Amino acid sequence: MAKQVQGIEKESPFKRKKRRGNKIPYLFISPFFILFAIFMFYPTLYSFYLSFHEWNGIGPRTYVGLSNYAKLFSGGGLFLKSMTNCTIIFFEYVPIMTLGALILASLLNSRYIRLQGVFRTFIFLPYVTAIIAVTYSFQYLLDTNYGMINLFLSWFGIERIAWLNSPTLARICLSSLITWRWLGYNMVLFLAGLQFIPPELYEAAKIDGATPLQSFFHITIPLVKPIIFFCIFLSTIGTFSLFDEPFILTSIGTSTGGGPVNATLSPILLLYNMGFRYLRFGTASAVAYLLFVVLFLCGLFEIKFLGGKR
Amino acid sequence: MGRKIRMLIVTLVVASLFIMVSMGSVFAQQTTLTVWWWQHWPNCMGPAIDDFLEQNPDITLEQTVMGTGDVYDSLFLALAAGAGTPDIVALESSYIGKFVEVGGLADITDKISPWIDKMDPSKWADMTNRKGKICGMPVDSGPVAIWYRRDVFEQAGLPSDPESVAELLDTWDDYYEVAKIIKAKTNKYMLPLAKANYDFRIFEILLWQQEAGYVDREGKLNINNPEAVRILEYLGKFWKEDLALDAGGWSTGWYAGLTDGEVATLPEATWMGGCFANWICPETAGLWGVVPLPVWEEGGVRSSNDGGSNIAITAASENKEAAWKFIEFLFTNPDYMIDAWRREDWFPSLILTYDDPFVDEVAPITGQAHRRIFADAAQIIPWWVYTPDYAEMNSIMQIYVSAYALGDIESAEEALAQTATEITVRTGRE
Repeated sequence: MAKQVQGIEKESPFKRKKRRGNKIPYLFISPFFILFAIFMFYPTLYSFYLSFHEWNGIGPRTYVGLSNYAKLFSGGGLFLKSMTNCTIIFFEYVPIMTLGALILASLLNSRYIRLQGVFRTFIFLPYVTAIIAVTYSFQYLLDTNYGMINLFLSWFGIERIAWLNSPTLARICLSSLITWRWLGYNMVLFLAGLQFIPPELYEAAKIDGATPLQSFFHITIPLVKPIIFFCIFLSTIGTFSLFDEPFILTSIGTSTGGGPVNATLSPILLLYNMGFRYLRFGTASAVAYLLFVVLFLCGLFEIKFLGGKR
Repeated sequence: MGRKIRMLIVTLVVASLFIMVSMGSVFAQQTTLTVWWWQHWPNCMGPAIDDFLEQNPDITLEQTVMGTGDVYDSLFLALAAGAGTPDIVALESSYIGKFVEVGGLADITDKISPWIDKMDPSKWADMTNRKGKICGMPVDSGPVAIWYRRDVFEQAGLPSDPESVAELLDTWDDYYEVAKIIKAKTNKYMLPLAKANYDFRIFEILLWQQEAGYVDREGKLNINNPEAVRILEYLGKFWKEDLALDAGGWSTGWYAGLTDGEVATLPEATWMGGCFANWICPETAGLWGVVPLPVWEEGGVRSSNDGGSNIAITAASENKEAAWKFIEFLFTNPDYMIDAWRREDWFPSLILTYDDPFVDEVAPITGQAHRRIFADAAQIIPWWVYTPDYAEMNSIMQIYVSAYALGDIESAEEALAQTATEITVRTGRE
């Protein structure tokens, strides 16, 4: 003890200066933290406070306890409805998209295909297309009476299908849109992963007599598992934060999106409607917090059961 | 250090003095009125605005033309921020209630009092606040009648002149019978009426014809009443028997259906004529006809309302006098309002225009004096109100009516009972 005290006293003029000097880097990184505090941290806390109040955005706030949360579960049970929708959509598109992306990536990584750059670009293109334009195009394609898809089907004698006016079909349409748009992005992630697999492994397998299919299942899949996990993790968050797609795809004419019969209502769309359409910012904040809890639990679950086996 | 601060203060003082002086010199001569509205308004009021600016050289006008929804979003954000609201803003009747409720619009009761009995009386309810003060000026109304396609009626072997069609569509039961004839003879639909992704404004039109609606005159929830059930069951027949085109209002399929004559009729407000003639289907001029609404029982009222818009001064405006001058100049002058009516079938809320000889002129889109039918209908509209909760109540109604249309909910009574419960949970209306 005595020695230490002595030591500090001895070195104190230098140390003090050094310690003061250590504060300068904090100054340099402070802009981020100041902006983060103002635009992220404060709103996060404030919306927690708001979720227990009734507020129209302009007038006074009234404390209402848990009634905003209760509102989301009573009546039509909008929050559960939106979570169910997203869960269904998740299972409709994530397996197909992830597997599709993996297969495409393996094909494009192999030597069997020429013009790889061209194919990569084309598959990736939907991702860089403006989502608004994409969604409107899908809406026109899927129109019951004048859409191209029904026109095409009519050549085979298939009657008009009300794609967007049936709850089940509308969800499938939404899933297809998401798959079409995100397939390329996931494929690029897999391509990056595949390039890290040493070619010697495939060569060794080939010498041992493995078919390409066997090496796909026994070399490729186990080695890109972390990427598969990463893709599923991103898709989970992406699915539950869907907004633009359902907001536009099913807001046909003057109807409010999320239809038919709330079949494509996502939690974020619900939040938007509550906040900015009906000016119920308290309820909107409650949606945000419920969604946070669910996503947090989903993330934990995935890390534990999917990521842990690495 | 001290010197630096002194320098800074001096610079700031000089700069602010300069800004104040320069701004002062501008404001000494000119009042700038900022206006937010949508394309329709400058289209209709162009000459009136020119006259106003000529007669008031001390006022300049700064118009911002945006989409209807953008006006509301921007206004809400400006109100929430407490800065940046315009002096004057246009609002549809369906949305004005919300802004009156949050206190964003100025009380103009005193200024408007000479005009109260000269305007369509049904308009006031949505712009009156809880204290009974009026916060807006009615501009256009939406009396409803039946728009029908003469060519489709002819193809079905039915008479197509307005007098005979009016007789043919005397009651809503007759309307349903005609729908079956048209379907059988031409394989066309009676009206566009989507099962989902649709705001079901036609359901509201039919409710208001019966003096029903979401709420009663005291503001109590009234959506779950026998009239409403009967109306929904009636619409249900069109869905079940495939008599309606499954296309939501203002969608691609809807426009195409109206243009190509896939649908025989459209029960809709007067302003539809302007939409047909100016942008949806100008090529159908002369193919349309107008007859009054059918009734549910003999002696019923052949009228209802859909939409309509208003103009208001914002509570934060610093130029309220000039703003009122502008509003009064434009929207209480029958000549300007008739000019707007001629241009875009913009039906004035100003009652004294209804006797003008212009109303009996034949319009190109219908080949008949259809404005007379709407002017007569406007004076007998039973009663309607959107209320501040309209957007939310309409969206809830959409869900359950749609579920009924798709067959997810069996009975109309059940669909409306669930609508009522959900509205109570969400808005607190009993």
